[in-house]
Amino acid sequence: MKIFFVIFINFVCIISANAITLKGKVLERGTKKPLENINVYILPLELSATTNNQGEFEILDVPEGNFKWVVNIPGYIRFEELDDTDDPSSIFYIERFEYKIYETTVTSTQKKRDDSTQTLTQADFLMAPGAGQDPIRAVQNLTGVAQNQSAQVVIQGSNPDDTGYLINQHPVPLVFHFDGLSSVVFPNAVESVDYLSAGYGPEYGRAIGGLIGINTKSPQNDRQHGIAYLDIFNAGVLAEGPLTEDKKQTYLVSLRRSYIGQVLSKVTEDNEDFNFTVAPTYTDLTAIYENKIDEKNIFKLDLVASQDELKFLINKPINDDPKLRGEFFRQTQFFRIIPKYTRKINSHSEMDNSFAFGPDKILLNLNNQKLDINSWNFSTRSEWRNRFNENYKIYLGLDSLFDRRSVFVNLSDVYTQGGVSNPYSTGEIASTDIKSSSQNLGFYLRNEIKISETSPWTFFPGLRFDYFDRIKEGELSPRANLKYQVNDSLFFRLAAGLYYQPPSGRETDKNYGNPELTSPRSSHYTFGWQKDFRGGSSDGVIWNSGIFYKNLDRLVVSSTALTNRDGSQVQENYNNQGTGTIYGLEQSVKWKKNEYRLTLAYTLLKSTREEPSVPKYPSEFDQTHNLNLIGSYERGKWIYSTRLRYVTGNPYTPVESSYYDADNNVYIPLRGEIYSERLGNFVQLDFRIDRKIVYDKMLLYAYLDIQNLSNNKNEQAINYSYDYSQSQPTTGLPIIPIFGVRGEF
Amino acid sequence: MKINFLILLFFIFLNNCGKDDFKKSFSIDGLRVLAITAGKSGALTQAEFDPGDVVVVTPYVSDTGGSQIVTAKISSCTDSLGVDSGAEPTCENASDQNSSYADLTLDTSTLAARTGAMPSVNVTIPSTIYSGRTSVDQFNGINYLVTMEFSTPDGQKIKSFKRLRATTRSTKNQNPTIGSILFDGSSFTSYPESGNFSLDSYSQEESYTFQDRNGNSSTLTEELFVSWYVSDGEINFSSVDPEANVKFTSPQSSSRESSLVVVAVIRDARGGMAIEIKNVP
Repeated sequence: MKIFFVIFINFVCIISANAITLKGKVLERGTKKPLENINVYILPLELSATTNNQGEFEILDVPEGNFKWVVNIPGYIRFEELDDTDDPSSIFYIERFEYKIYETTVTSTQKKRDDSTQTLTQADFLMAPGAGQDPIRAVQNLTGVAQNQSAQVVIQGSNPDDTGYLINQHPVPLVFHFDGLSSVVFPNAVESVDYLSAGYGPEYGRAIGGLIGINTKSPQNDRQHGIAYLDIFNAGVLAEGPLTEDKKQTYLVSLRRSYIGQVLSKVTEDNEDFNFTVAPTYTDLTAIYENKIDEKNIFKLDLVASQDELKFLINKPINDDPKLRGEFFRQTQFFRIIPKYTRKINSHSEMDNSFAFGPDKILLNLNNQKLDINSWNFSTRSEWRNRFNENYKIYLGLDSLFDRRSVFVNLSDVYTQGGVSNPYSTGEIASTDIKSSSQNLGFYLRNEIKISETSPWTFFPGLRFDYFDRIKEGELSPRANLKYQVNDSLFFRLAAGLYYQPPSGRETDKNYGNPELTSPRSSHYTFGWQKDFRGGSSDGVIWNSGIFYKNLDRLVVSSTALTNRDGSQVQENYNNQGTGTIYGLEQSVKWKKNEYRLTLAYTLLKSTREEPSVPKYPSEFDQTHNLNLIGSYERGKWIYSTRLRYVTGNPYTPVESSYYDADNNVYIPLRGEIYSERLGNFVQLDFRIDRKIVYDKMLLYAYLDIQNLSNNKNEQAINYSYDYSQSQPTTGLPIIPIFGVRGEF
Repeated sequence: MKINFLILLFFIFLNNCGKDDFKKSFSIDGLRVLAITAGKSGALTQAEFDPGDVVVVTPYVSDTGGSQIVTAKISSCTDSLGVDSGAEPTCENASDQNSSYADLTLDTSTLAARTGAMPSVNVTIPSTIYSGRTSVDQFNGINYLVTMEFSTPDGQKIKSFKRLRATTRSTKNQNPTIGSILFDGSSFTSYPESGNFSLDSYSQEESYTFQDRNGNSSTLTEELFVSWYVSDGEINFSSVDPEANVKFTSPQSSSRESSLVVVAVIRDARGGMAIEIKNVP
């Protein structure tokens, strides 16, 4: 017995000395995503282990010697590696057969409250051809959005100033950096972009054309992620991930900076007419903190900051206008801190509360003539949602905006009509230095009613009340939406509503505007349907179709008439006598088959305006036909995409002759019929190639984005000789290849 | 609106960096109106006025490549609607239009290089020009428009206007003065080779009081600028600060005109101006 015991002990010691415990981790190649519940084999020993949620595994009692690791998972390239027991821990990077573009950060899903809102998710805009991964530029691929080279988004033939811009549902002065180059939030920090056009719901107001809303995302909590990119215009970095072990608290920080100014400075350094000094640059910062406190309570804090600067020295007066010389400086800044608290009160009721607080700054300096606007803005949003039963849900909300601003102006007040401006030197100096505050209060009620659970009809009656403190005006806006769901693949929708927006501070200024102005108004009517031909498959066709009609009245228009105010004859400057009509047809067809995607977005539109003593005229962005044809093909590590745009040329106002202003040595244009002629049609073909390179610990993308591949000379405006006797079109940008690289983990 | 306007200007400016085939604003060719000076009768240096003042208005024209007779039809009226606010600079529908002025005519062949002053016209500022206007408007000035339509027998036509500003300011604006035109810092008497034009002297910028619409006063300094013209060759700036040198590029000697006219007009952007004309063979 004693002998057997000794032999057993010796045997165990021998076995223990020759058997190893191997530990390891299985991660997805490129993304470093832990692969959970994966079997890891050792051949030919036929040992195996299963990974935990961190991708970790452990295999006991592995005899010393050589062997082969094998990991074989559906969707991944079979992994085999010879090894020996000398190294007891390993990390395996398993490569997928296919990687979607921008794999690591696409997280969002589409959330829509009604069908008058079009929502682009992060996946949509990151992969949208021609948009350069930019959420707002991707919106320009949608129906109803005008082709426009500026920083403003023009919706369904409305005026640029009729579009409202939101970040996390709170108003901001802009969503585009200088001249529409890029949105003000890092694209991968954006969950979705909402595009609200004709018939939008009562939750929003103060925009008679529509709204563009950026919604930031909840930072990812699975692991640490990072992105860095670089191209010829700008560079940026982003980091996000969990802050705590339990992953309830997460963060995201992103920073971007353009250096297009430095590029342009270099290009123009030999130009004796002008010098760029800071021109143009932009910077933006987004920081997000989220705490999912428990299942019922979420706190999210966003910081969004943006700055655009443009500075140059004009040696030679622009258009021979003597006052347009010297130093030009433009700076636009805004900062918002946006805390939001969401509470799920019970199974059928929840509430959001958020506010946004921060300053805006707009500074223009032209040779010491300035426009300097500084404001502090405080907006609040609260919404209570309650589902009383399966057939009735209510949304009750508050949407208010307060601002306190100081305005200093000593710029020439230049007269502009029909897109044609008088020379800057002829404007009267508008000198003012005021401090003011305004309050815009908004309350809304939205109902979601079904007659029965099985009824195909859903009715969304709503009501909004706005009070505009500056003009002491309260307005009630009824809005309604009706949906008829024929079957799972087809529905019809009908929407109508009234919309108001307050006139601008400048327009109601007692000296340079008209304090008696009222708010411009628009009534929207829209009807449409969506048919999904895919039959449950991911391949196939989705067809969206709609018509819309907008009636505009009380529009603010310029006036040169005299009026009696406080006993004196003064310039009226503005009145509310503008009216307008917009109607159109929108068609969107999306087709997908395997790696091929094709999207067609077409808008047929007519937009006209009327004002006293001016014949009815097309609006500035009356683009009769607007066609976007977008295609992409993704194969392996390559993706090819292209966009073809065809847009009817914008109307413009011809200049028939001019008057020589002997005091300023400039010519004042004598306008022909307002917007009675058109620029040439806009045709542009863009092309982009993306190539993925998969490393163990990161994904690298290289891309070549060629804008205006066809090098079309698209007319953007009409340029005139000094006395307006000669003219020629100014064309847009020629072919521009943009090369960039981007790394993600 | 203003931001958009300036951005638009920037856009236009960038595009203007490209080549165009437009005629140049500095080029004296055909009928051009170079300046319209105005001074109080008996005190011609005064460029702002009181109601009832008689103002001597003198147009300067050039017609180097065109006809010999230039005619100017004259009209005047109160600038009630505000040209500076966008109203069309015409007296056609004005309630106080005065069209009783005799046409001015000038045979340009009687002038050296067909460039010079037309006969003057006397314009009287209405005594009622302040009627109904705010005290701020009266202080900053109510404009009395003098419109002039210049024409030649060969169909050239230029519509022009000049503001005569009536103001309650106690210190009236004075017309700037201008010295002679120099070439590379010296006076010159013959067609110069490429180099720089400049002025040997000019008056100092004046300070003046401006009232905003709330009646708050501030002191501003006027900004003088000089408009340059040449009848041959090219210059790099057409409107520029008075102290600046203006680079002149002479054509090849074989393609030069027989003489060169160089004109400099100094303005204060408040209605005051002075002109200097240099003609060299």
